Amino acid sequence: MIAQGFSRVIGLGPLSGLSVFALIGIVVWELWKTNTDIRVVRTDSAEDKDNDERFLELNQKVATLLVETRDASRRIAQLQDSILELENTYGAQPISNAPLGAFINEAAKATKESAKKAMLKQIIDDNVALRKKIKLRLVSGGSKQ
Amino acid sequence: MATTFYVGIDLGTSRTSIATSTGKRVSTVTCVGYPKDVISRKRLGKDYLLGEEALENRLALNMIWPLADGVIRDDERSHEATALLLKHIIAEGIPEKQEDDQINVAIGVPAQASIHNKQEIIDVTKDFVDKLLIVSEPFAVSYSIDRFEECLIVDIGAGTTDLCRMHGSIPDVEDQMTLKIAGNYLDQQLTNCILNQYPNVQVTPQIIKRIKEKYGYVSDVTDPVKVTLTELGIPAEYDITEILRECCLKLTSPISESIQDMVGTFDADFQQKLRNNVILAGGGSRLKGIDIAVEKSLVEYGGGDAMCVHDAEYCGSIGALKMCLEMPGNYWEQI
Repeated sequence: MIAQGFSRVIGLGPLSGLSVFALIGIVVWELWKTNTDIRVVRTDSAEDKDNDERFLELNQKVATLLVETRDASRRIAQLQDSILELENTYGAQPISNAPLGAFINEAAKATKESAKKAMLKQIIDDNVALRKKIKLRLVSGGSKQ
Repeated sequence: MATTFYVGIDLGTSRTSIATSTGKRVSTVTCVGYPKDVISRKRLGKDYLLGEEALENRLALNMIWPLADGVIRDDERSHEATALLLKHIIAEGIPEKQEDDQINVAIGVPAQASIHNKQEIIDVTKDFVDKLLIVSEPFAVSYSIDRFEECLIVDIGAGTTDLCRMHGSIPDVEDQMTLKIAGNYLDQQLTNCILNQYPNVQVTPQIIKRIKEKYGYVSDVTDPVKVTLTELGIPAEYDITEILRECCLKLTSPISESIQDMVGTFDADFQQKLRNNVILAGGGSRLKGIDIAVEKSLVEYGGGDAMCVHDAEYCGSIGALKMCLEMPGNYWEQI
């Protein structure tokens, strides 16, 4: 009765009750399937976002590792230089006599670039001038400017 | 045989970092804490605590933040605290130092630090540093990344933001600018705005700093920023997405204006090159989207490119160290 009434309401004509129930079942099943598909798509996009974030994070870590590897290689080269220099300095004496600090300390290497040299010279000149000014201020009891 | 060690120092209002010729990098909070009374003195077992250790025990200590606006405060306690901090951080960086070894240091100061400010640094370091070079902080940044040709360094610290135009030589006075709008200003704005919107929440400078460092952004879009704060001890989640963006923009807007000033007053033939080489450094460069915000601010001037340095924490100290190491030996003798 209900099924026949329903079929008339939705304009399907005089279908048998079984057919209507089957039809409703198909519609419900389709709706449920669509809903499940939407959920799967949502989960997929959430996973994609997670994967993207993880990928970015991993990329950053790889970049950091590359920088650290470069630093480590530079450090190894410096240590080799230090050992060579110490061997030259200590000559016949055993190198183990050298203090630990001398091994791990990076020796200063004056720049050969003339532009840099000029800049460093000016920094030194500024610092020398600063000390002169400070001395003058101390002598004359100058103001705090 | 005596060894000469070299140290580059970035003495900042909020953090101090050093890089040494022995390959060490050390960084600490620029603060010193003195026990409040005999009980705290006995519990802590020390006359003073430094950096993070002081911050962790701050309830039992009188805290001294010896720097303001990037320079040492003009009082005896701050001088003493700066000396203690620098002495300890250098000792931590070079534990191998023997008595007859020498320590040569380059230290970065704000671009427009006064003679008096510089004299204070010389005074506080004279007992444990053999030779001291004072250099402009943004210049140390440019030295660190080897960028001396036309570029604009913007070093956003806690106390000051330093701008410096590079043009292949030592920058002149007019190439440098110091703004007192920096990280601490942002903290203050953030505190005010949070309290305006949520008057009863409990915030401290440390909480604000943590929020800023973790979530600070100036981009147009972000995930919602919800932080847990307490109201009369009861924790709850508060949405501060918009507050945070507005406050961060209050920091970046004047910086962008100053960048435009520096570009606009530069040799017209090189303005475009300068606009295309804006380099952001310092703690403030870690705000999400700050490079894009600066680029946007340059659009009406014809566009530009901004980039953030890789290592915001140590960039200045590494530059200062590099200067020490590349300095010809006979130059040092003049100091």
